[in-house]
Amino acid sequence: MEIKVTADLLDGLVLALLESQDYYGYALTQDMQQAISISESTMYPVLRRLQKAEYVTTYDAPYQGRNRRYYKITESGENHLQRIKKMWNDYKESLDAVFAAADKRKQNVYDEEGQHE
Amino acid sequence: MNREKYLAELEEYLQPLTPEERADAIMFYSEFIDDAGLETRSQIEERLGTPRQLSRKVLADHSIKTTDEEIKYQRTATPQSNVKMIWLILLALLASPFLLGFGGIMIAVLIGILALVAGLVFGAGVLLCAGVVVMGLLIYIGIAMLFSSWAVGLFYLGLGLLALGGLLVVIPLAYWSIRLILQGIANFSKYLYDKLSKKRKEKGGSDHEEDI
Repeated sequence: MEIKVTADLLDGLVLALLESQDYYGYALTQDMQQAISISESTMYPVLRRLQKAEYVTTYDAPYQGRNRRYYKITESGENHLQRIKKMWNDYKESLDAVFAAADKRKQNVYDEEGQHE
Repeated sequence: MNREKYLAELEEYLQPLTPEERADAIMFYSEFIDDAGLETRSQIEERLGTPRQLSRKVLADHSIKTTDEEIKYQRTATPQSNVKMIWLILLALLASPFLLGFGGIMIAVLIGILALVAGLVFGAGVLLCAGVVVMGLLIYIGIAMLFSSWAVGLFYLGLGLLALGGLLVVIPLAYWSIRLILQGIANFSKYLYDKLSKKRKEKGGSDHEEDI
């Protein structure tokens, strides 16, 4: 089973990759696929959405006699990435807290049972 | 050659987009095909699906995204964009492999609701037209009879004006309720699209786990 990645997290992953370097579409898709299972046809709508929100811009560069469109993170994209990271961290911490508390309760019950025997 | 044909077909299916957006999408996928080194049509379809499948994905996502943005910016979706979205989602659902079971039933329900609403709208339209005709006739008779027997003339004129008043109340009401119903169906089909996409993911088909 795999946990479903929401659109926000998907945006965050793309922005995080773009923060380290500029990408062209195919390379970005390949690197995304390393992280999560995402179909190759999905990247375009995601990039388009980020571009519309002005979190990424594009520029074209020639490559072997044709064009390659590169995606580059903007300043507001970097801010957005920080927001998503914070959201993710908060979420992760609150879930971890619940899991840890549950484990601890289980451990206590187990210990008590042990004492009775 | 295969590549050109595939892209030409994709472009054909992307007609609902603006020329600028269409060119953008075509450019992205043509670059993708080059970079991935896909030569034959079957290689392309293995990675991206048929032109039709790919276009429905782009179109459905596109439409859903614009409606999301509209909601985000506190603008209400126009009836036109709602109708367009319902239609695109229906197409996307029909293109999906979920024509049986729950998905199939929900699609049938959606089509049924659409047909019902279309019938209601048509009926309301006919009724309104009839109302306008009756009103016109009453006012015409009223004015014509005003000079021969003024009491009867005034009576008909009054009825005609009453009908006019009634229409002025009913027309906006009908307009708003149709808008509301359309919005409801749009939300429902969006919900359906999200739900079926999720289901598809859970089933874990290797090509289809991407819907977000």
